[in-house]
Parts: sequence; C-alpha cells; structure tokens
Amino acid sequence: MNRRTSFSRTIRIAFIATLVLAAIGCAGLGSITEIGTGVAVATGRMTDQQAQSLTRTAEAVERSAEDITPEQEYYIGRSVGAVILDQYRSYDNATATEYLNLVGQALALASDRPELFGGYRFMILEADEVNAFATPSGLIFVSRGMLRLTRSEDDLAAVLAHEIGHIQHRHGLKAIRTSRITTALTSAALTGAQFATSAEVAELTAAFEGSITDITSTLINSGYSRGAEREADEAAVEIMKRVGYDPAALIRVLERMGEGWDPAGPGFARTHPAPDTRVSVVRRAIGSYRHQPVGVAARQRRFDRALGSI
Amino acid sequence: MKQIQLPIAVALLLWLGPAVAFTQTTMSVEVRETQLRATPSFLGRVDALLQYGDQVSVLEEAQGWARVTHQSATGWVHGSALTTKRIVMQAGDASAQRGATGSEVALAGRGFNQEVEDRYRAEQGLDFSSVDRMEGYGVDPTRLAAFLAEGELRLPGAAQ
Repeated sequence: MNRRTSFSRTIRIAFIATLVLAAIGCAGLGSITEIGTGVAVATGRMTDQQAQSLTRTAEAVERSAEDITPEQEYYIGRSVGAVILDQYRSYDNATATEYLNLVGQALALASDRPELFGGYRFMILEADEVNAFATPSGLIFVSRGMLRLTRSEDDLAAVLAHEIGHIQHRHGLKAIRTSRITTALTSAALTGAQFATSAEVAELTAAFEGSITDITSTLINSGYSRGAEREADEAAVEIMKRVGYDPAALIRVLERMGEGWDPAGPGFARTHPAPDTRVSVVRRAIGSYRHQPVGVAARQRRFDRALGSI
Repeated sequence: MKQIQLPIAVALLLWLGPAVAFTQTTMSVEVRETQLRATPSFLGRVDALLQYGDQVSVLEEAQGWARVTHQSATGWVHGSALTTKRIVMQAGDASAQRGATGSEVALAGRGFNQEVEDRYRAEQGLDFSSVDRMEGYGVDPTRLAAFLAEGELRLPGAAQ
C-alpha cells in the first residue's frame, strides 16, 4: 500500500517536473514560483494553505513588477503624501505618534505585503473630521477626529489595518490611468542611456503629475469602489487575527462612525460606503473565529496613556 | 505493472534532479533594504542585510518566506521583498542596451524617480519636509518585540 502510494507520488512529481521543464523552455521566470510551489505540495514539503499564501505573495510581487516597481511606487507615494500634507497639518505629539507607529508596524508586518521600498510610516493629522488615508508607498495618515472614535488599541488597530489593506491590494496604484503608467514604463524601459533627455523628463513629469492627481482625487474626493473597500476590510480582519487583535473592534468603530454619518460632509462619509453595509462584510470575514482576549489590560493602559486625550 | 513502474520511476527521478535544482530560482531584492533572518519571521535573528538589486538564490519557500543564499550567507527573506526580475542598477548595463523587456529586467532609478519628484515639487511649489520627517518614524525592532510581548500579541512565523 505504502509502496503503491510512493509510486503514484513519484509519477505525480515527475509530471510536475515535466511542467517545470516545459516552463523553462517556453515561459518566463514569473511562473516558476507557482510551479515550484506545486512541486513542494506534491512532495509534501508544503501544505496547500502555505502554497496558496506563497503563490498569493508571488503573484502580488509579479504584478507590481510588471506595472510599477516598488521604487517608482515609493516616489508616487511620497508626492501623494506631500499633497495630503499640503491640505492637512500634522498633529505633532511624540508619544501618540510613536504609539501609532508601533501598532501600525506590528500590523503591517503581519500583512501579505510587509515589505515596501521604504516601509510603512504613520502620522496623525490635525483635523476634526473622521478621516484616514494611505499612500501607495506605505504612508498612512489618520485624523484626530478618527482617533476620537477609537477607545482601545484594538479599535486603533482596526482603523490602521484597513488602510494597510488598501496598500496590500495596491488600490492607490490602480486608481492611476493606464495611459500614464504606459508613458512611465515605456520611457523607463526603452531608454538605456545613462541620462534621460529633458523632453523625456518633461513627459515623465506630466505622467507623474497626472498619477498623483488620479490618486489624491480618489483618496480625498471620490473614494475607492465598494469592492476595494470590501477587500480592505477583509484584509483588516485577517491581519488583526494574525496579530491577536479582536477583529470585532472594526465593527465597533464602524458603528460609532455610523452615528454621525453625513455623506455630504468631509472625510470618510464622502469617500466610503455607509458603515452598516461594511459591518455585514466584516461579520462574514470574521466568520466563526473566536478571539482570545489576552493582554487587554496592558493594551488599554498604553492606549489611554498615548491617545487618551486625543 | 509494478515491474514497468519501477524503472520508469527511477528514470523520472533522475530526470527530476535538474528540475529540483531549477527551483533554486534567482531573485532580486526590490526594496531599498531588507534582512536575511535565521527564521521565517520578522522577529527572527538578523544575520545579514540585503540591499536593493542584490541577487539571491531561492532554496525553499514557506508561508510567504523564501530561504535564500546571498554570497556566503543563507537565511530567510520575505517574498514581498523579492522579484523574479533582475534589477539593473546602472542604466548603461548591457542587458538594458539589448532592449530587454520589462518582464525580465527592471531598471533602478528610471521612470518615476528623484529627478521627476524634484521637478514636480518645483512646479507645484510643494513642501516635502513633513514627508521627509515622517520617513524617520521607523520603529526599533527591539522596541517592537517588547511592545508585542507586553500586549500579548504575535507576528506570523517562527520566532525561534
């Protein structure tokens, strides 16, 4: 019986080896991770779940590499950040900012996309409106008004994890018109010269400016699609589970947000679906997960210390 | 049936050798800097630093992490820091001049870069000082580990 299983496994491995060899001949390196993952599953070195997780990461890396490299994403994000900080002032409280960055960094490292060209950074905005933004490159801004809706570290984690979800899914980059990306990539790929010509830099700058406008107008005025918000909420739930935060905190924050909901007003109400529709998405994402409430008192103490008087 | 299967299996296993070797794909670091760690976890001990464009050989993969070798060092790097493209650090590099396609090669410092940002900044009259300050908000890894422990939180992967 064992021997028979072993034979059939050998055949299966050989079949996958054939696929690998075929891939060497006719496909680019991009598909190798997926096939390699298949080999690892067939040989029992990896569970299906691990393979799915790896394939997801590899696909994400590959897609961004085909469109916009993390280095280019970094420059886009810096300028989006500068536009946001042209419209909002930063709230400079060292204790609150350090705390925000500790919670945010823990969440980011547990996401499907922990590595960005320049890493994740978090800043508080001096604004009473309920709002939060994420630039493609990992700069995350949260208004004081939004922070006042949070009453625990887990609530704060819910807000930050949603923004990390947008970055993980590259929603900001997807807001850029394709023609602009084509301009940027064509200029970048076809010119092997050491220095770009001034005409090329001018063309690139125009595409860059357009890209920044596409993203900032989406972030500040029109908002992402409902589908994108659902993806960000689902990512938030998953990230919170991984770190040990209570994902139901996202429901509590959404319910508080719903109390003062005015789609005609500034901030989240203008750019996000109504909280009650998001709550049902979050409940589905949480599913049968049972949160283990440990470390709650220690988290509450440091939350109150850092953000209690926000 | 078994008599036929055995030699076929042996032959296929011999054939599999190079295929397994090929899964040791070469990949490149596509972030500014990352760490080569003793275990597949962001809490794992850092054994070496990898820089943008560094090439690594992938030995195995698990839960989004890749165990790689770079020069004489071996360790774990998160998959989101790696690309199958070769990152060309100098635009005058031979493969760039051959007109290598975007799916094989990425040119570092090309496209949207510092020069484009400088020009955009001047045209828009934007102040980047707050963004620059924000980039300094990095978290010390030891501080983060203590913060997680205090709050009874965790990161995915093996810490030891």
